[in-house]
Amino acid sequence: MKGLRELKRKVIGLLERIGEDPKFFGFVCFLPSIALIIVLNIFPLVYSFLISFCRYRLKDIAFSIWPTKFVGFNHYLRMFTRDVAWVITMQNTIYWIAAGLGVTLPICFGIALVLNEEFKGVKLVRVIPTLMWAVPSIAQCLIWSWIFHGEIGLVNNVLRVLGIIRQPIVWLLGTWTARGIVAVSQFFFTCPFIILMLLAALQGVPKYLYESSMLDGASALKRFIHITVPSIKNALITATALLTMWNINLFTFPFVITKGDPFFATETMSFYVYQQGFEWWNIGYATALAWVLLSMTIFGAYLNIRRLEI
Amino acid sequence: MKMILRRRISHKTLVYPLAAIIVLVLLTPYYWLMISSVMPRSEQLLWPPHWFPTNPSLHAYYEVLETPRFLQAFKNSVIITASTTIAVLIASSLAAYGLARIPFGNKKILLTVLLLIGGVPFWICCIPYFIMFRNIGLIDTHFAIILLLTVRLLPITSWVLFGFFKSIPVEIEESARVDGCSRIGAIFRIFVPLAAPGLISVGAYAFINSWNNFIVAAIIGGSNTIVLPVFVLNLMGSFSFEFRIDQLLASSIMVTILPILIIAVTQKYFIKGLFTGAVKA
Repeated sequence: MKGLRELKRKVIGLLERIGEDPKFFGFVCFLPSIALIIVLNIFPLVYSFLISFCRYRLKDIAFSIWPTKFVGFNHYLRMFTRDVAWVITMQNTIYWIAAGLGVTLPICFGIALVLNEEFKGVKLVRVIPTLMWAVPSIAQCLIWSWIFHGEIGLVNNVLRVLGIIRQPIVWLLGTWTARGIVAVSQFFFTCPFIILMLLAALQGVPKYLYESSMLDGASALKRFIHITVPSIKNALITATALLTMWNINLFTFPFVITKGDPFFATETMSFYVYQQGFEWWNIGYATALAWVLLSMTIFGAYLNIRRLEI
Repeated sequence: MKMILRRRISHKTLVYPLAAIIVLVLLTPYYWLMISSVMPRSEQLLWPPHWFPTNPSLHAYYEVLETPRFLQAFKNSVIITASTTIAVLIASSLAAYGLARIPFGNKKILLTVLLLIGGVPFWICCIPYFIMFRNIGLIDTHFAIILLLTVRLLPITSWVLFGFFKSIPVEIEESARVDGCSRIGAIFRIFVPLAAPGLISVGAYAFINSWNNFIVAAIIGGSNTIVLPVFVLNLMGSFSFEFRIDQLLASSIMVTILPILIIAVTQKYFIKGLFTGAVKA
């Protein structure tokens, strides 16, 4: 017992001595995070960059950790000249980015505007995006493939009741209908975060701006254009950057439900990287694709971030 | 006078129906999930589908709970998520404290680099992870998954905590030290209680992200470390999942309950903690 107390006193004394010296304390503070990040983020990035110049297939992995055949820029040339699937995935991504920025962002902005008002029960309604955010992506994918089910889905029932169609549409089999499912499920994946972010930004706009403009006789539309939008410019730009990045990195829905069917219509770039690497085991080619995709993502983020006013 | 009154009335009457539509549209999918999971099998596969179950039964939940894999997945989920949350809290609060309190070089560059590294998606490194871990022998272990999940969460949580810690004034700690408290004592007695809301929100964020995460466990884990979302994924199989739709729905609900509870409890810390830093940055 006495030994334990002695030990405790020594440990606390050691901690206090560490605390007194600021430089050492800072070093100890950063050590766990920096070590983890370097070992598990930077090192694999460098490693995958080196692999992308080699040919590394299944039988190579079995024998050595370093790939044996160096092929230079072969992979990069191949992906832009001979790979049709890659081009299709890039087109798909453009469609979903357009859907994200053109449909999701305005609708989420509208929802945030409505949630910003003060009315009875607004606190309850504001909880809804937070709860939606916590639902796991598996459950979301399941819900959407179930709602859009070919024979017994909810959407088919609603359309039939409304009289628009007479036979149920098999959503997963058509090219554009499958892309539509992915776009709708992306809306529900991304809207909680975007709504909450825009709502937080809207609540930070000082009320006296609105009041003084109303005294000067500004209409609601003018108030919106000249006060609301410029005040939350930062949040809007962040939302655009996030939506672009999320739509480029769309991985869950193809991985869980469609696996890229029909005929690569719902194939996303990141899922294509996964397929090349883990289903067809062309690891060198997959890492080359991953690096091109990463540079596209960074470029997209940069285009948005440089307009931020920090 | 009359003009302002008219505008205010029309403003309010527009908001209520819009809010009702929004609630309806956003909540209908989850309502459908919950309702379908308590219907008997024959009613789930009915066309046209019923909006309300005629005789609700919990048979699907019993079936899922009796599957031995489910209990193992639940246990693994709890272990991995709890360990990840603790590790993330410790590592990111240390790093954020260092960033917020200790004066050194160019913080802005460090923060930007941290954010950029945090923006790297998982799948670009998943192939090197797989090869590295396979060679070390860590492929099917809890430790590997906890490590990867922690590393994924560290940049964002450090950044959020940094924003939070910066808002706590230094003078409080310094006055405690002037009164004779050591640095560590000042941290534990004064700083931690003030930073508790931020820590709670970051802890909830880490918990929910690691509970819902299935990509890491699907790629790096195997049959030993099956996690709840991976369990649901395995149930799905290929295209025709109608045959097991009741188990699928029930297990999805059971996976979703815990994060929703956590969010409901920590909700008020959440929005303040996560978005104050992000919006004003």
